[in-house]
Amino acid sequence: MVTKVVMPKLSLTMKEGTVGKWYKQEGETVEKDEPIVEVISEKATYDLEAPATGILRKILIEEGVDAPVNAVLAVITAPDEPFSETEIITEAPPSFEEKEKRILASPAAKRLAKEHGVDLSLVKGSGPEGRVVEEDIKKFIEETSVLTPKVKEIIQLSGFRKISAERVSTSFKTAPHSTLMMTVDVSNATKLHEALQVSYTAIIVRATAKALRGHPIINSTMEGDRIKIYEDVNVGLAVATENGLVVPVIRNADKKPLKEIDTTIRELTEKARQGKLAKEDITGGTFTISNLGMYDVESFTPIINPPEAAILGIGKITEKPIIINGNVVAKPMMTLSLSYDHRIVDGAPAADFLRNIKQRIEQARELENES
Amino acid sequence: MRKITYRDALREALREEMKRDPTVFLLGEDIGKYWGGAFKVTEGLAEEFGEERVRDTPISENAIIGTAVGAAITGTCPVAEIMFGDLTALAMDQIANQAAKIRYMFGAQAKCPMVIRTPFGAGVNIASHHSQSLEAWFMHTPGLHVAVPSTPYDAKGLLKTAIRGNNPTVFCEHKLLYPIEGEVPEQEYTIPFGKADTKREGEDVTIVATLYMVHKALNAAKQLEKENAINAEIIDPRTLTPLDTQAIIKSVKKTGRLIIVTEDCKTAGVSAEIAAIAAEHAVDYLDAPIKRVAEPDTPIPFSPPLEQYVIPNEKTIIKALKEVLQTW
Repeated sequence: MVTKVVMPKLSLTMKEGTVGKWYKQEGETVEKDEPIVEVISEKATYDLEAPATGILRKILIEEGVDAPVNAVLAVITAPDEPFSETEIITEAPPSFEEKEKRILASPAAKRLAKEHGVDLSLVKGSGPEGRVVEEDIKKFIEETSVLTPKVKEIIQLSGFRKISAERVSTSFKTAPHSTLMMTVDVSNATKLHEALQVSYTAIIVRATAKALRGHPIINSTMEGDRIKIYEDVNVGLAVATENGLVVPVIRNADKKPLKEIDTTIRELTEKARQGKLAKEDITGGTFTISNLGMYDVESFTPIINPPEAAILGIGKITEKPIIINGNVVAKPMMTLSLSYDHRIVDGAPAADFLRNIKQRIEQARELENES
Repeated sequence: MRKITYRDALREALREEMKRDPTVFLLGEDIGKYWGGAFKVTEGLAEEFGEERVRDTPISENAIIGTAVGAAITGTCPVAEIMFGDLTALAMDQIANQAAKIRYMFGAQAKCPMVIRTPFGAGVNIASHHSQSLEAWFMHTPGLHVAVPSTPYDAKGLLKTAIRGNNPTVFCEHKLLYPIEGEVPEQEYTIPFGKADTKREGEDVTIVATLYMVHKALNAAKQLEKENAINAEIIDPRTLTPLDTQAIIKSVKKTGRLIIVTEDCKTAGVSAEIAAIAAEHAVDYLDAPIKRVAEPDTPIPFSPPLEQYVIPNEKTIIKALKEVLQTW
């Protein structure tokens, strides 16, 4: 008798598998139920057993080759039994939808399986004709529960966290992010910081706001298939609070003196920590800055605050050895990370914008004179 | 508590209601002082209340029910007895087309507060014209209430409610239940319609049973518990219209398995309706197919062995239980 060895369906969703090692070679004798070939699916590796006793006459699918479910992998025949290879090969593998075996399960078992996300095809039924009953699901859950980590707490996303999660995922899914990193010498900024008693953040906000003036495409939002470029430069500053991230906005940051920016930042940050930000404090931003330097982060890939075009990440200021004219000099350095929406702006203009920020920070002394 | 028979419990209900309300009267064949009813339910009542209120009638079921309908709509409360449930067929126009519809047809300006007491059931070797269980006919007729008491306690409490009600009630008794004894309190009580009684608590399988089958189901459940440690819950609906569907659904949700034991024939029977309710409202809780243990679709045979063969019994109930419990 000619018996076909076919690709088994190892799970409900399996559509094809890979042939692994053949344990038997063509011409060898095989016993029924003896493992003859390894089959690899997405979920498992399985030793396929011979469906009949006989000679492994022909291997049709070689090791390492994929084959759909029910495709003929090999043929087992009696010794010297005639068979037509072409006939077997040209025979289309029956569609697995047709052959799909209906899983017998009681409605109660199905309900429980659904509630616990149990794949019924993995449960062995103890009822008549192998029907899966409620008890089988209970046992299955019990047996598999030792494999899954013990849950301590489940937090239902709601309110602020939920909105935040939605915004972040919308941004990440819709805006193709690309991040540029650039190291900046903050020697002058440090002097400015000390002389005027202003924060580094204030210095960077001002440098960025000035740079945005010269790169209006970055000072924009994307709505549908339209890019809206803003006249106003309103820089948002990401602030971590107990309840999550908020982004208060420093309005017209390009027109404000450094000292005023510094005061505004202090006020807004304080309000944010106390949860007292008003609607006007957090709306109308055209660009966002996120500072993780205080956590010793050097550089990172910030996620754009949608629908804005870009976001600037600020890293830690560290003294680094810099070579100037062949001499090693210690300089306070900081890395800026600019993530931008590649739909709105390409790499070169984004890099140009970032370099402009760098130059402004490095020439920090001039910042105060300009306005 | 004192124990009395189902027959005596019914008689007590009739006596108490006749004392309470002078408009309550009885009519039927041989129910008076000469015979006291074919099953002796009305024995002694003619002597106590007089022949005006316990009226022997000619052998015409159509006339008995027609009289009762007329009396009911003109302000009295008749309790008619039809000697055998099978013979309600002779009065079916009065029951189904008159009694059941009067309140509806007259926009509740007329009502028909009457009770038809009648025994159903096989098992006493009196052949196919005197052994049927036809409760489903009346369930299938909107406008009628249908009571199916299985114990002396339920019989008394439900009959009193039926007599006090504003609607025509077909009060289904069972020939083999009359001599059965059970606890019945001395003091006054009634049982509301539409409220099932859990005759036995259990976790493994639900048995919905009516009338005499409640007792066979109880026997089967006892045996199953003893031999197989399986605990069956037995729900007795007590009234088929209105039917306590919530009690049935609740029990099915608890046990995940349902068998229905009724003495009527299987096709379009009481058990079919109950199975449909479980399928409609609790399918996601069923762990096995619903099983109906009912009579095959045949007239009740006169031959005693054949008669016993068609009536559900402890053995057929246990067989069905084992099938849904699938442990054997």
